[in-house]
Amino acid sequence: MNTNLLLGVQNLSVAFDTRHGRVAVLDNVNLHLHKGETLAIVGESGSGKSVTAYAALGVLDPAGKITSGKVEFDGRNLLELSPQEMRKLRGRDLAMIFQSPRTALNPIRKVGQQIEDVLQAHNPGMSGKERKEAAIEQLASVKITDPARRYNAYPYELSGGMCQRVMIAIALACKPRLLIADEPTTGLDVTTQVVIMDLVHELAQAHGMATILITHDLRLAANYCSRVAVMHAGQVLEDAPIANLFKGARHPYTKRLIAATPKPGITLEKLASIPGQLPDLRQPQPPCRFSARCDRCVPECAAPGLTLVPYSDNASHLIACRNPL
Amino acid sequence: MQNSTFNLILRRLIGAIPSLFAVIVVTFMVMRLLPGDPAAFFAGAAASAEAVEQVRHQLGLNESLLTQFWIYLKDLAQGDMGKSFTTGQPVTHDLMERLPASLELTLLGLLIAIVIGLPLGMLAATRPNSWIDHLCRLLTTSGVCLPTFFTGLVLIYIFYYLLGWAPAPMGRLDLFSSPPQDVTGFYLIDSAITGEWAIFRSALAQLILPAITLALFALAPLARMTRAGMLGVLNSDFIRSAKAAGLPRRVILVRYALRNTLLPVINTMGMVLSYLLGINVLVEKVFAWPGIGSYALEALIASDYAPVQGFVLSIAVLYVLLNLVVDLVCSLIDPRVERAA
Repeated sequence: MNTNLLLGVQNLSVAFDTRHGRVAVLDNVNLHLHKGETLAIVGESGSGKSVTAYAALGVLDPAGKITSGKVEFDGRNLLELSPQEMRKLRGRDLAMIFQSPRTALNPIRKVGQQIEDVLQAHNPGMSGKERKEAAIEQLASVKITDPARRYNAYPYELSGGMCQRVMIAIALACKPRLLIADEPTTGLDVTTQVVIMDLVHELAQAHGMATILITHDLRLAANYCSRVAVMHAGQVLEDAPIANLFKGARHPYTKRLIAATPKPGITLEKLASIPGQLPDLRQPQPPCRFSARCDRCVPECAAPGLTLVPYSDNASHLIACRNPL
Repeated sequence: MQNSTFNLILRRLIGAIPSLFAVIVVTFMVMRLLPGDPAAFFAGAAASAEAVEQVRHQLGLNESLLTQFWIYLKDLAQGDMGKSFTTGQPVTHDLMERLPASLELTLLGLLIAIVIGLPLGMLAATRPNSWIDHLCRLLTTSGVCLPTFFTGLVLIYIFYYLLGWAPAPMGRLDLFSSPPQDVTGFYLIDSAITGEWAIFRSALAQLILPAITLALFALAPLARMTRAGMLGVLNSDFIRSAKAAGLPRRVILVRYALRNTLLPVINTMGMVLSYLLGINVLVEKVFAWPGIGSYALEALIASDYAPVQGFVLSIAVLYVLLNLVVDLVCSLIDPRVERAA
């Protein structure tokens, strides 16, 4: 196997038990990430991007069950680890930052202490004084001015951008090898978005850290990632280097997603929209969950066994479609 | 910091004056609207009309309502709540003498409810639909459904009459013990200070049944609030990020979840304690407890105005102080609670 591989998600399926019965949220998701690589997972809201990340990290809601698949991190299947082993891995090797940073921080604990909590969880030998120094250093590393004073701040005293910096400081406190950023700039104003994304990018480069960026914004993905996985209704439809994707998207959904992305010089009326909406996952689904919205749907699309395969011998461009462009 | 706390206290105390005045007016009016003539009551059943008039004159009840109210206000301003016709003592003296008995009972009841209710609510929230969750639901539902005097009677029936485990429900001490030296007025504390353990045991034995009666009532809102608060907090974003950061379960539950749950629970505690002060009236009657509740009840039956007015006013003052304490505690836990608000 490829020794350079850091994270490999294989045929991951997740179902949620709800009042309306079992909902198959993820359907055989396959993703891979090399050491130091930056991958974007792109899709509409509800396409299963966040659930994939939560499942990989073992922080799914109790209602969510992993029904099949493997999550390999550095050669170990995370789904077979004990809760205790998994806890030790989280925050130390795998870290995550979330959307809406304000609510993602404990509202009644000083931000400095929240950084210390992570340090304490993974470095039991550290003294209180060392921890405090490390926490202040960590605040400085995410470019928070006057870190010693901000150590004592509560989240409500900080702006949204500041809170996201604190989240990043918490996530990177133990120098993880993989950072999952789940819509890290949602809810921040545009200039702050750029600053935060640049900061994440810069820190990832500096530590040689692999990054997964979960977003619905293709342009953001293009600016910061080398590869994109496109998700729709819990399935990965296309997985390709960013240049290949913009030059020659092979999946009809990706093509439409690119056409729906606002660009300079195109008025809002001319912007294409994707017809239909995400399928109701409470109902049984055809093998390709996009087929009902797809204008290139052919009879073969109803045949079972749809998987991601290389497109015309290009091993880096994967696609799950029976009638690609 | 110090200054803003002081400001908060001052502001709240001044802000309470209108409510306290309203309480004074309403109690005064309601007492006089109630059927029952104190003059007739004290003159006795066989008294002639002239004798009743004479008593009325002695009690000052022949004056107009407005004059009576004015006299009452003037006395209150000097800290005089009037005299009880039944005991012949100043109401202030009677209340101060009985207040420790009521407070000791109420606080012990609340303490039992907290010690059982909080962990129960927490466990129920971390294990929804487990047996402990069902136990929590059963206890809270029955605590709400059963009237306290009824629970009290049932407890007496079982533990005193049937099993003989509890002493007779006849007040704060058994017949053979005398009260400990008066320091705080709380028998448990006073006897512990002086080391009179026989008295301590006797006081505790007398306290247990009425305290459990109150606790069963207070348990319901506390456990429910803890469970609901904890469930809400456990589903919040910052718990997910704490998990994603690999914090140990114990740290997440106590440092992150419990502290955030405590805010609504402490508010509930204040509310529950003020309910308990009211409920006390019945429980004290059932257990012949010499507290302010049974004092007020007897005065009410005798149409003895001053003690009832004094009782309601003291409860109102306690209520104001209690809410102040609750707000101060909340501002200690939650930096967002603005002290000036």
